Amino acid sequence: MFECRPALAGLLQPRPASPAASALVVGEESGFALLQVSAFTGSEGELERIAQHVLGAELPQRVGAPGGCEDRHIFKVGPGQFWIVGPQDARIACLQDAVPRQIGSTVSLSHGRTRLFIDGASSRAVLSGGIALDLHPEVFRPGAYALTDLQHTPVLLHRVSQHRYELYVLRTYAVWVWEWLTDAALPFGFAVAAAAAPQDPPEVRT
Amino acid sequence: MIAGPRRVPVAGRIDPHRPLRFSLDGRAFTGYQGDTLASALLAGGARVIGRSFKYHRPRGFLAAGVDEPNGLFTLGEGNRTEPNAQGTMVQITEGLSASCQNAWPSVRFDLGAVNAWFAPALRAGFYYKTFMGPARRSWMTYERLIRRAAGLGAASHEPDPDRYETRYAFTDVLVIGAGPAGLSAALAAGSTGARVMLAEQDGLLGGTLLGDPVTGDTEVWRTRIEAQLRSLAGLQILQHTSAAGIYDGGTVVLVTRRDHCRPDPSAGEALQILTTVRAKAVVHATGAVERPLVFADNDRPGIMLASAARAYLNRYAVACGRRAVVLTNNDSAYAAAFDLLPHIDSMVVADVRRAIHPSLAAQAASLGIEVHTSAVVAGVRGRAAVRGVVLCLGEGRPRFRSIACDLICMSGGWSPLAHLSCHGGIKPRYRKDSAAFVPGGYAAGHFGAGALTGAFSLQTAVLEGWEAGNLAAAFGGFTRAADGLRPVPPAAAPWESANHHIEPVWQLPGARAGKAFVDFQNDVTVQDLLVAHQEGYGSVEHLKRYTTLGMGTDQGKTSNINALGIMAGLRGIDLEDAGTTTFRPPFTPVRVGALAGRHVGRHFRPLRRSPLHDWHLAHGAQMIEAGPWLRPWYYLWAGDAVERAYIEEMRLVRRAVGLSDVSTLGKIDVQGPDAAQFLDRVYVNGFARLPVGKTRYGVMLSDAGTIFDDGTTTRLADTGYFMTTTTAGAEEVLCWLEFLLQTAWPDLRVHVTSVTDEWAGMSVAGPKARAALERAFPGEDFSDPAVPHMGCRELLVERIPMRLIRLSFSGELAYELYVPAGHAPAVWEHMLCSGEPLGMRPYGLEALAALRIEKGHIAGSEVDPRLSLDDLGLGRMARLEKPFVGRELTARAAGGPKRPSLVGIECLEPGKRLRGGAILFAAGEPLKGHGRGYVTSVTWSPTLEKFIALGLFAGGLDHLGEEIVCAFPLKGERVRARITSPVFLDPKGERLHV
Repeated sequence: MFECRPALAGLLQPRPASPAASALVVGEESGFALLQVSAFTGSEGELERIAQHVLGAELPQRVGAPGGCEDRHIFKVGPGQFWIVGPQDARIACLQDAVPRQIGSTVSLSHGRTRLFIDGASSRAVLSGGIALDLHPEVFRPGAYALTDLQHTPVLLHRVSQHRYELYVLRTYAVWVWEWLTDAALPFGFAVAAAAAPQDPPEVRT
Repeated sequence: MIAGPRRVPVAGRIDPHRPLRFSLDGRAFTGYQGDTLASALLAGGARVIGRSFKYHRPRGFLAAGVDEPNGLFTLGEGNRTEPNAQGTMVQITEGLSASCQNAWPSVRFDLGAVNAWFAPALRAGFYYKTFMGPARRSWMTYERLIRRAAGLGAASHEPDPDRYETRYAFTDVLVIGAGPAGLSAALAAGSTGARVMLAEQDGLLGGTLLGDPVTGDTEVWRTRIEAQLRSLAGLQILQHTSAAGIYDGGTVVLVTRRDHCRPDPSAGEALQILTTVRAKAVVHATGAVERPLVFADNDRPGIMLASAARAYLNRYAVACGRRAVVLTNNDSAYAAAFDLLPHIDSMVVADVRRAIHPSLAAQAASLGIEVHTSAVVAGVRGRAAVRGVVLCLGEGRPRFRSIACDLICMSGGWSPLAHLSCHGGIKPRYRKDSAAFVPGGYAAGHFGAGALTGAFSLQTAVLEGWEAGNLAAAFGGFTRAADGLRPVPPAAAPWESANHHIEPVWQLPGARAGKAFVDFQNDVTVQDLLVAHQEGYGSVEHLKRYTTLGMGTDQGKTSNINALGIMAGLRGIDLEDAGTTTFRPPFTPVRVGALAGRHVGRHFRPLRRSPLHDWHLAHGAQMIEAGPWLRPWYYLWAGDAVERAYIEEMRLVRRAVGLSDVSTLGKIDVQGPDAAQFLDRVYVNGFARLPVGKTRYGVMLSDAGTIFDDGTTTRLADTGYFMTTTTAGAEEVLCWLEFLLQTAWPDLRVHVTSVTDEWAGMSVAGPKARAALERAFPGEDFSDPAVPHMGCRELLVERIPMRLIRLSFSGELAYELYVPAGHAPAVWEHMLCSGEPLGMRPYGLEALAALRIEKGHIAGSEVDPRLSLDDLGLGRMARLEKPFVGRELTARAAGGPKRPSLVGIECLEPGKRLRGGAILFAAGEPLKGHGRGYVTSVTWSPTLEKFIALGLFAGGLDHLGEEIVCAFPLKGERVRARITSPVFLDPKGERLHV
C-alpha cells in the first residue's frame, strides 16, 4: 500500500499551548481533493452550468465571493477558473468526465497543495504579519478568500469563520510557510494540532 | 523630593516611586520611570555628554526630543550594541548601559579636541582640496584614514540577537502625531465611525502639551481628550511609533520602538515593529520643533532650546541651571522663563525684538523678570559649561552687559516638521508671517493641521485638527462629526498669537570671534556657509553636499532653516526663492533589523523541499541549495566527501541502477483542443504530429531568437500534454506560456497549469533500470515494445496513477517515474526495497550532473540566453518551415562561424584539474583578455579517468582535436587540454537500448 503522507508529516509535532497562550491552534489538514476546473474564453457559462449541475451548488460569480455546499468549498480563482475543494467522491469524478474538452479543462491539484490552518482570537494579528490584506471582519468576512502572497509564495487564504483561517499552500513550500506561521504565532502562544494519520490513497484521477 | 542634584519639586510625568539604575561609561546613575536618558543625565548634573563630530568640541543636550543633534549615545554592549541613539528619545530601563561617542579617552578629556587647533584648515570641503596628491591614487590611501577618523559610533559585527517584525495594517484615517492637532483630528475622525489609527512617537499623548505644567489647564484638557479617544472602539493608538515614510496610495511606514519593554526575543517579543499602513486618508499633525539662534559659541554645554529647558522642568522635574538667560526672537520662550523662575536663582530675558506685546511685558514685570529688548549676544563665557554671557543691548550706541549664568535658553522660532508631507515630492513653501517652511500641498486624501501649517497656537491647532479629521473621514466616505463634539481648549493668554510675534533672525549680529554653529551635529558653522558661497555652491542642494549641512541622524531638523536664511542673505535673494533640500524617508533613523523584519536566518528566502525531502535527510543525504530547492547533493552510502561519493554514485548508474529524485523539474499540464498547435509554436521543433504515448525533447527560444529553455513534452491524450522544463526555468516558462496565450494567441483554446508540486519525479537509471521496474511493479510490461525509448506509459498501481517516461539524461537506459506527491515517499521506498537485490541505491545531484556531462547533454550552465541553437549544436532541430517563437531572429542570433559554440574538453595533464569558468586560449597564444571561450561544466569522469568539461569555444568543433589552454587566473592555474566532441560516452546511443 502506497500510503499518502501529508506535506508536514516529518515535521508536525503536537505542541501543547503555553500557559500564557490564547486558544491559538495551528496545524495541517490533508486528504482533501482539489480539482481545478477552467473554461476556455467564451465557454464560461456553459462550464458553470455543468459544474453547478454536477456539484449541486452555485459557483461564485467573482473572485473572493463565498461558494460551495456542505463539506465542499468552491473558490473562483480566475476568469472562468474554479477550485473545487472537498472530499474525493463520485461528484468530483463525475465532474472530470462531464467537462467536454472543447469547452474547458480539469486538473487535479490534490497533492500539489496542502492546507494549513490557524484558529483562535489572535489569528488575524498573526496573519497581518505576512499577508498584505485587510482582514478586518467587516472587510474580509467569514467565507471570504483571496489569492495572495505569503513570504514570497502564492497562497489562497480562506476565512472559514471569525477566528479560523485556512491557507492553501504549494506543497513544496509547505515547510517554509509553516516555519513562518509558527514563528509569527510565537508572541501569542500557540498549540499545534496533531498531524493526521497517513491516509488511504484517494482515488486520484488526473 | 526625588534624588538628583538638579531635580526640583515639580509634579512631572516621572514616577518617583520607581527608581531605575543605569550607567554611562561605567558610571552609575539613577533615574525614574518615565525619564529619558537625557533627562536622567541632566538631573544627575551631567553637562558634557558628547563631543562634536569634527572639532570635538564639548557638547551638551540642545533639545528634548527627536530633533536632538548632540546627545548621541551607544546603547548596550556586544551583540546588542546600538550606536547613535538619541538620548532624548531613549526611555531608561533598569540596568541600561550607555556610553558616549566620538571621544577618547573620555568626553571630559578628549584627545580629539586637538582638531580645534587646525580648525582654520578643516572648513567645508577641506579634504577635497587637501588630499589630492602627490600620486594619482593617493586618495585611495587618504580615504581609508579619513573614514577611520570620521563617523559617529560603531555598530557591532555580531549578529543581532533581537527580534524585529514587519506587519501590515489598514485603516480609514491615519493621524500622524498626537499633539493637540492630532488629538483633535483623531477625535473628529473617530467620532464619524471611521477606523482610525493614531501614531505618536512619544510614549505619551500630547505633543508639546507634555512640556506644560501637569497642574495646568492644558493638562486637564489633554487628559480629558485622551480619555475620550480611548473610549472610541474603532480607534487604535500606537505609542512609541514614528512615521518613517509616506508613499503613494496612502501607504505609510510606521516604526514602533519597544526598547522600554525589554522584550525577550526567545518569547517572540519584538524590539521594533515596522508596520506598512494602507490608509484611505492621512492627517499630518507632526507639529514643529524649536530652532536655535546662531551666534558665536552657541554650542557650549548649558545652551539649549527654551522649549527643551521647559520640557525638562515640567515633564521630568529637572532644572537645567540655577541662573538662566532666555535669548529669543519670539514670544514662545517666555513660557520657559515663567515656568523656570520659581525653581532657579535668577532669570534674565534678552529679546532680539525692539518691542514685545505690552501684556507679555507686564506679565514678566509682575514676576520680577528683567527683560531686555534689542538684545543680542556679544560673547559666551565657558568652555565645558556655559559660565556667562555678554549681551549687546540697544541700538545705535549699544552697551554691553555681562551676566553670569549656567543656562541659556534660546529660541529662534519654530520649524514645522514638514518632512513627511514632502516624501511624495511636494516641496514645502515659505510662510512669511510664521518665518517657517510649511507643506507646499498635500496628496489627495492627505490633510494637515496644527503647528505643521505654521500656526503655533493651541487654539488654532485644535480647530485645524478637528477640521482635518473630519475631512479625512469624509474622504473615506464617512459623515462629518457633530460640531458639538469639538473639543474646546483652554483660553489663550492675551499676548499669545499664532506666530508668536516672531521677528526672524537667521544669524545674530555681534561677536565675530568664535564659531557660530548652524548645524550642531555636523559641525557646520557660518564660516563654512560663507566658504561654500564664495566657491560657488549657490544651490541649496550643493550647499548641503559640500558642507554636510542637514545630514546625519537629525537630518537638519534644527539647522536647515537658519542655514537657508544665511545662504539667501549671502546670495541676496528671498528665503522662499532659496528653497529647501529634498526630504526623503526615513524621517527618523530606522534600524536595519526593522526593515528586515523576520526575513533573517531560516526565514531569509524561500526554500523549497521535494516531497522526498524527509526521506533524504533520514537516509544520509547531504543537501545542497540549488536555486530555491534543497536537493540531495550526495549520499553517505557512497562516501563521506562529495569528491569520492559522486564518483561512486556514477559507477552505480553506469554498472547497475540508481534512483534519483527529480521532483524539482518544472512540470506543466497543457490541455486544450489547440494544444498541439500551441506547442508547435513555442518549441523550435515539431510537436503537432507527436503520437499519443510518445515523448519528445524540445527547445524553446525567446523572442530574441536565443535559447530560453529546454525539456521534454509527452502527449498523454489528443488534447493533453505533460511538459517538463529545467528546474531553474519552471516559473519563467509557465509565465512565458501564459503571456503568449493571453497576448499573442488569445484565440487558442489551451490551458497551462503548473503541476510541479502535484507530481513527484524519480529517475531510474542504469543498465538494470528495466529490471528494477519489473521487480517493483510485477505484472506490468516494461519491454522495449511496450515502453520504447521516448515512450510513455500511464500506470495505475494500487489505485495510484503513475506516469512512466523512458528517456535518459545520463546516457544509460533510464526512466522517469512520476507519482502523486503525497505517495512519493512510499513509492520511492518501495522502489529501493524491491531494487536492492540489483544493487539499487539513491544518487544525488552531483552525480546526476556529472553523468550528463559525460553524455554531453546541455543543462543550466549551457542553457544561456546569450546563446543560439547553433551555438549549442542544436540548429538542425529547428523546423524553419513552421512558425515558432524566435524563428525570425534565429539567423541573426546564429552569428558567424567564429561565435563560441559547444565543444567537449578533455584534460591532457594528469594531476591537474579543469575548473568551471576557466578561460580558453589556443595553445601558444598569450593568456590575456577574454580568450576564445570558457568552460561551462566540468567533472571528473570515472569512465575516462580524467577531467572532462563542456565549454564554448570560438569556431567550436572546427577545432576538433586541437590543443588548447584552460586558464583560471583566480588561482593562477593553466592546464593543457584538447577540444573533443561534447559526447564523451556512447556516441551511438547503444546504452540507451540495452
